[in-house]
Amino acid sequence: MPRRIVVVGGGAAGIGAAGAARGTDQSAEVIVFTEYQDAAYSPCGIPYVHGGEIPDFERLFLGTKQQYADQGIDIRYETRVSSYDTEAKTVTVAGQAVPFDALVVASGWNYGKPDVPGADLTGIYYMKNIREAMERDKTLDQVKSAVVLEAGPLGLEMVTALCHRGIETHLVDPSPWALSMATDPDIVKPVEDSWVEMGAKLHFNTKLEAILGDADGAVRAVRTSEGEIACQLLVIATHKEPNIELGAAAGLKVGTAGGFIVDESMATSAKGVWAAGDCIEVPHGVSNVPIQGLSGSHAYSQGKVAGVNAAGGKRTYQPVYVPWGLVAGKWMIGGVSFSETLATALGIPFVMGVAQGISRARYYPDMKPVKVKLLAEPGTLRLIGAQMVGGEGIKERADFLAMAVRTGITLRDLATMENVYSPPIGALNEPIALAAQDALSRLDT
Amino acid sequence: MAFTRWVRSVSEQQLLTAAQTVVARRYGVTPPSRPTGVDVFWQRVYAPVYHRLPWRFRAKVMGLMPGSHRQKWTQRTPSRGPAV
Repeated sequence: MPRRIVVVGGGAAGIGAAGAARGTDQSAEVIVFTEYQDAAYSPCGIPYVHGGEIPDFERLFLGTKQQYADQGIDIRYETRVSSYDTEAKTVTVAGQAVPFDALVVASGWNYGKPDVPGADLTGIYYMKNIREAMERDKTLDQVKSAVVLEAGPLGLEMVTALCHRGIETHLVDPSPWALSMATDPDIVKPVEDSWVEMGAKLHFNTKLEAILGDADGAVRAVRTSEGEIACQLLVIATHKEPNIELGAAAGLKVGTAGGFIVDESMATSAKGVWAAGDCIEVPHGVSNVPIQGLSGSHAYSQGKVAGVNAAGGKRTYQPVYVPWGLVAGKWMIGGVSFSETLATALGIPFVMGVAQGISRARYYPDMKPVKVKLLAEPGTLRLIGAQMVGGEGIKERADFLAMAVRTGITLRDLATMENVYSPPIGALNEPIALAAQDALSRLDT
Repeated sequence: MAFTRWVRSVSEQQLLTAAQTVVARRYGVTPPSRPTGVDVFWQRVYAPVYHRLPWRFRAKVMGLMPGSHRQKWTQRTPSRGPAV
């Protein structure tokens, strides 16, 4: 009898797990259950279709349904799993028990729903499902005013996208600046300024109190702690809540970050059950504190680890350092691990250096500024975090700095780093090196 | 929500707000709104007490909370010296 591997969830983690399981054991029967009409598309690309940078939604699909069928992955679309039984090794689908030898839970996340009156009105957009995004997109041209709730990564992208679309866009956030969990005010300020240039209205330190509807039950305004804002569309971009309901009911242990507890093989607390993606928590490499709600690339990598192990192979995952980056307003912004704000919140001591550099030779066309801030552990001077804002080259620097944090590279190493110098792609002085030199000079004074 | 998750969630949010106040002052930008109601306790009592405790103690308490960090995770040691 071939091994039957059941995967619950058709997002990045689920599809990663299914493909890796199939690759590890060619004879295995791999079944993916997803409640949606589609699997394996890039929800992260949706804001860029709304904003007009990507011409259509079809480009967001990673593969066709036939391609997955040809690979021997049996995806059951629009099929909801209603429970797991980890003792009997079954999942329940439409009242029938489906047995498995190995189960991978990749049940993803849901938005934190605003706990205010009016949360069930029409015109509230929880951007996640591509089919809903396609329908929303058709109506965006009729929207004159929109509110984006909370300035997390998705909120930043949606504010930018709606401005590109010519919609009067209001950002409402209870924090004092955008992306305040991950960034500092000096880093995010150019982004906020550029939104204002693009016509956005920013409402920080502002709490949502109610969503107000018209006679047809559609959103007409939001009431906030700073007054009422008229809108026809409310985009919810609140934090990611792990979708753990079925797994928790089946007895899978849950940690303080709210996700399933897993080890380096993505094994859960139940034998023969693995989990991956936004429904799990993994330790942070610097603080060892478990965290949840990372990027699609994290989910996909975790899914592959879970899939290999569920199929009888052996692969491990590592604690995370979380490089991140995105385009917001007219800027690219990114970083890794700790910001000044987050380190201050946790009470982690740090030394810091900041520098403003450039992305190409100063005389080369389209040269862009690049600001880098580095945080390091006092004494050893090992890097513990970085933030950047600039016109280009942010993603590559964030990836590099994540490896620097992971491998224990110090400010002294970075201050003396070698860098590519070529007028169209790199300046004489690397901004990372300049920031490290600034940190060392502060220590010397 | 489990008690430990609630403690972490509220503590995290309140410590972040306290840190935003400090960092906002440093950069001359608008700080978070003044605390009201039960937030007064968290901002005026909990956050200062948390920061007075040594980091090692705080890290130990966080380490004792249930979570993935208490499972097996093997950190690879970076290679040192010339590769060839």
